[in-house]
Amino acid sequence: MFSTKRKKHVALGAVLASLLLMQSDLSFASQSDLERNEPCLRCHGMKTFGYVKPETGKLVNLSVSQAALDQADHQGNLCVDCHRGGYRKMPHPQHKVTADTCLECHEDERGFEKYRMNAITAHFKKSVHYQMQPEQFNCFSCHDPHAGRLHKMGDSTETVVEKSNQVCLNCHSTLLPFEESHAWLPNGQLHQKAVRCLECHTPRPSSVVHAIEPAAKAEKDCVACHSRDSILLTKLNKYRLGRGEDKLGFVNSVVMDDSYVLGMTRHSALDKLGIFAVALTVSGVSAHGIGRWFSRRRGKSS
Amino acid sequence: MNTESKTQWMLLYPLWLRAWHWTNALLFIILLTCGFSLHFADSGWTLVPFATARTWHNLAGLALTVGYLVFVLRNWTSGNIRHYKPDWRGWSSRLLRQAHYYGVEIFQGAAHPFPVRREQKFNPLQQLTYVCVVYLGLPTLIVTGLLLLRPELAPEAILGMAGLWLIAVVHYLAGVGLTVFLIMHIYLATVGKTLTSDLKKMITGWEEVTLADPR
Ligand code: HEC
Ligand code: HEC
Ligand code: HEC
Ligand code: HEC
Ligand code: HEC
Ligand code: HEC
Ligand code: HEC
Repeated sequence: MFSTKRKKHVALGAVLASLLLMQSDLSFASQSDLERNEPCLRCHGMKTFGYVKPETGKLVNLSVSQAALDQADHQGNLCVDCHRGGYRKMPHPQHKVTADTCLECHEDERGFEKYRMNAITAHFKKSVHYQMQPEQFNCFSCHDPHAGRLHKMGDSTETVVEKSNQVCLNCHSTLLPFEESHAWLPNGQLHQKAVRCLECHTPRPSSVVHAIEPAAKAEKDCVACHSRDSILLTKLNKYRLGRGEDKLGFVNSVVMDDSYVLGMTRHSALDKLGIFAVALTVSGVSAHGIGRWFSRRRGKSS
Repeated sequence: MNTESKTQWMLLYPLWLRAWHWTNALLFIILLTCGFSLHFADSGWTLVPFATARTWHNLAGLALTVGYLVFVLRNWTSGNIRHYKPDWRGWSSRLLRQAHYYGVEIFQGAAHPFPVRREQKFNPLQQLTYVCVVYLGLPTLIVTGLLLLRPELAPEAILGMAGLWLIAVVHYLAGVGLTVFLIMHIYLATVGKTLTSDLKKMITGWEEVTLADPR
């Protein structure tokens, strides 16, 4: 349809171009998008372009950066792929892009099955955000259609966590800073970098992302994560599937991209060794003590 | 007893030493129970909830560190360190002699082969163990513990694994080693002249010392 075919051409061109010119292919791709979005960017490409909405008195930012779009998940999509129905004309029609617009491309049947958009939409409808403020919340509250870029399978755990949390922190760092709302959680900085908000704020155990629950249902039990069958296995783990065996006999090491998680990353041989050493010592001293007791009794009676 | 010409009562365990010893004993118990509860969090055998265990383990670990520094300094300046300096002449045969006592002679009611002296209150095995515990085990435990407390200070990677791993494993093994020591230490406290004489000594500080070298 809109993108796959064109992407192939672009890729082919880029390979040729870089072979001939030894130059990066990025400018090549963006050049053609730039040209094709030119009719819109003439106005919307300006760095400052917006107006104050009379009803609300709020500034509506109408500026869109092609450079950002080139780096986003929707790179290669044209403005008119999403903004359909006469946006080439002025004044524009007053179409709103809705969740239905997203589904038009992301409908499960149309080569986008892997995103399970219908399931995501159903989960989103259950989320605390939609339940609390159905008018205010939609997909693009969290996913910037022009610049958003999610992590991909195979990214390091660090990147996954950072990108995922950034989505939530966009709003929640101003609503109430993490350090304050999560003061009960020690090593706050470390946890914020090591686990996603979603670990604790979505149903467990499951890999569901969009059914964010009310705060009262969030995970507060440390051992839920700090244990061998950690909930992280069903959550963060999905990015690690097929990434190889656990290293040097450590349980759950690959899951966390080699970082050490107290109580979760464990070595069964070392665990057994520790217990064995202590048990051996206890039985050793007990035997010695009993021996002394007997020999003393013998000494007394003789 | 004091009437006997060859022995004399001496204050071999001054107050600072006893204070350190018994604080350490308490801290060991706290660190052990909490450390177990953290490492084996899901075992069903934990005595302390995870979050509480973390707080107490951190506090006790810091206290242990402070106590350790005080001990090392005071041990040195007070001259008590003389008991920790091995006499290398015939060292290994004296070790074997002591081991033979624990393994065989003790059951025959024989006397201790190396009675307490003013210059050397530990027997050779005891000395070796204490030197290992105080100058090897404890520093290892403390340094790795502090790194786990401040993971951002740990080296990024050791041997291709996140630095924290090796540190955590070493900390765990040091903890196991010192637990083994603790058990043996408590048991061996009962093999003095009488069952409780060593315990009393660690409370009062006074010990009966042999004046002449028996060798
Ligand atoms: C002549 C300058 C100009 C051009 C060219 C232009 N726009 Fe706009 N656009 C505006 C102005 C002014 C507004 C704000 C007034 C309005 O909403 O009609 C706007 C608003 C918008 C909005 C938000 C309106 C809404 O419904 O929320 C979208 C989306 C949009 N333009 C898309 C496009 C697209 C896509 C193109 C290219 C096909 C384009 N524009 C070309 C000037 C322009
Ligand atoms: C993947 C789909 C998609 C693409 C591609 C896309 N947009 Fe949008 N755009 C949206 C959605 C969805 C919204 C509504 C966002 C919202 O309501 O916050 C939007 C909103 C806008 C707005 C209104 C800004 C606002 O804050 O209300 C403008 C202007 C706009 N787009 C222009 C463009 C231009 C110009 C391009 C091409 C350079 C473009 N869009 C490409 C989906 C897209
Ligand atoms: C014009 C078709 C089109 C529309 C409309 C569209 N998308 Fe996309 N979307 C795409 C394409 C193409 C990709 C890139 C797929 C890839 O890289 O594998 C994508 C990727 C994404 C991704 C990244 C998925 C991932 O795992 O990397 C998200 C999230 C996303 N879209 C959400 C939305 C949302 C929300 C909307 C509605 C505002 C929307 N899309 C509208 C075509 C579209
Ligand atoms: C409350 C914020 C929020 C809302 C609202 C939201 N998403 Fe997401 N979405 C996220 C986050 C965060 C991720 C990254 C998930 C992760 O870390 O694995 C994500 C991931 C995705 C992905 C990537 C595939 C996956 O499941 O991880 C798609 C596709 C997607 N969202 C589509 C949508 C659609 C469609 C909607 C509207 C029905 C929507 N999102 C609404 C926050 C949101
Ligand atoms: C567009 C801004 C925005 C984004 C992005 C966002 N939230 Fe929210 N969130 C809100 C608002 C507004 C509320 C309702 C605030 C309130 O009333 O306290 C809320 C409420 C919540 C609540 C319920 C609090 C309660 O009192 O029960 C949780 C949990 C939550 N968000 C988690 C998340 C997570 C996790 C993410 C990332 C996936 C996220 N939010 C992304 C704006 C946002
Ligand atoms: C370790 C689990 C955990 C993680 C990780 C976590 N949360 Fe929470 N969060 C909770 C719990 C539990 C509560 C409820 C606290 C309470 O009621 O005392 C909560 C409360 C909240 C609230 C409601 C508090 C308020 O008054 O605003 C919001 C919003 C929230 N979290 C957002 C986030 C965001 C955003 C992130 C990621 C940056 C995040 N959480 C990461 C467990 C977690
Ligand atoms: C959502 C899962 C999760 C929950 C819930 C959680 N933690 Fe953690 N915690 C982690 C991860 C992952 C790390 C590893 C950070 C790193 O080093 O990369 C960590 C690290 C730590 C550390 C630093 C030591 C180490 O292992 O690196 C402490 C201490 C800690 N957590 C205590 C707690 C306490 C106490 C609670 C309960 C109040 C708790 N955690 C709840 C996931 C969790």
